[in-house]
Amino acid sequence: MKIDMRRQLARQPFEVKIRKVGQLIKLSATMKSSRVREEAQMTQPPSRTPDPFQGRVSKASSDPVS
Amino acid sequence: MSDDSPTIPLADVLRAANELVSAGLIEDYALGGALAAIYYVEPFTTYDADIFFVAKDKTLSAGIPGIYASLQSKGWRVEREHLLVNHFPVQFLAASGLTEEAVRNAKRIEYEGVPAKVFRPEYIVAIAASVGRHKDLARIDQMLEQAEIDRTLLDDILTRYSLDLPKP
Repeated sequence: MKIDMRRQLARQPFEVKIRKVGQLIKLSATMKSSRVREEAQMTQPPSRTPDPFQGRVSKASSDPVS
Repeated sequence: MSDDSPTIPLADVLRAANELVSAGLIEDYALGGALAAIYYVEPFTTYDADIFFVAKDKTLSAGIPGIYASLQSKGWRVEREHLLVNHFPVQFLAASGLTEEAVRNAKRIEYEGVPAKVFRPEYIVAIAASVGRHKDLARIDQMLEQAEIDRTLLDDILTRYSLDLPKP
């Protein structure tokens, strides 16, 4: 960021700057929690939920004649 | 980010510090650390508030047990070295030497209608030079670039406390 832009930000009222710091904290927490969630999903072992279709034979395939 | 509720309850912190002065638990105080720097420079992320106080109790404890008890009675929680107000960590640090001088010469401000004191920029720079961590050196650069610094006052403080600014 350009120096004059940063100086302009520096000249804002203290209350405004403190609110911005609060927003930065919230943003940082949001980014952290979404990163943790993504990492957890990437390292998660393959799902052990049984495939509802596994072992089920459709009527059509079991009885090709009909 | 449409939620406008303050993540940093600074007015509550300053009000509580004023009450500690009124109750005679501390002699004086000022906002220091990153939030004091933000008074003079662009906003940046910080996760706590540092309140430097001049102790009334000149014993080793600096009256900290009384300060903690008073704030806990107002609903503040203790978590390790911090006191938490609305989940925001605040450190109460007993001032001495350079930091005590910084408290005594702090700038009077009003924050959301609450009278308070904040370290002057020259003291923020000198304290950062005395601590000297990487983030303190970055803070010095930022302060020199963005804040209005009284160089005569800064040089006087640096000389009296045998401090040097990092070479550019």
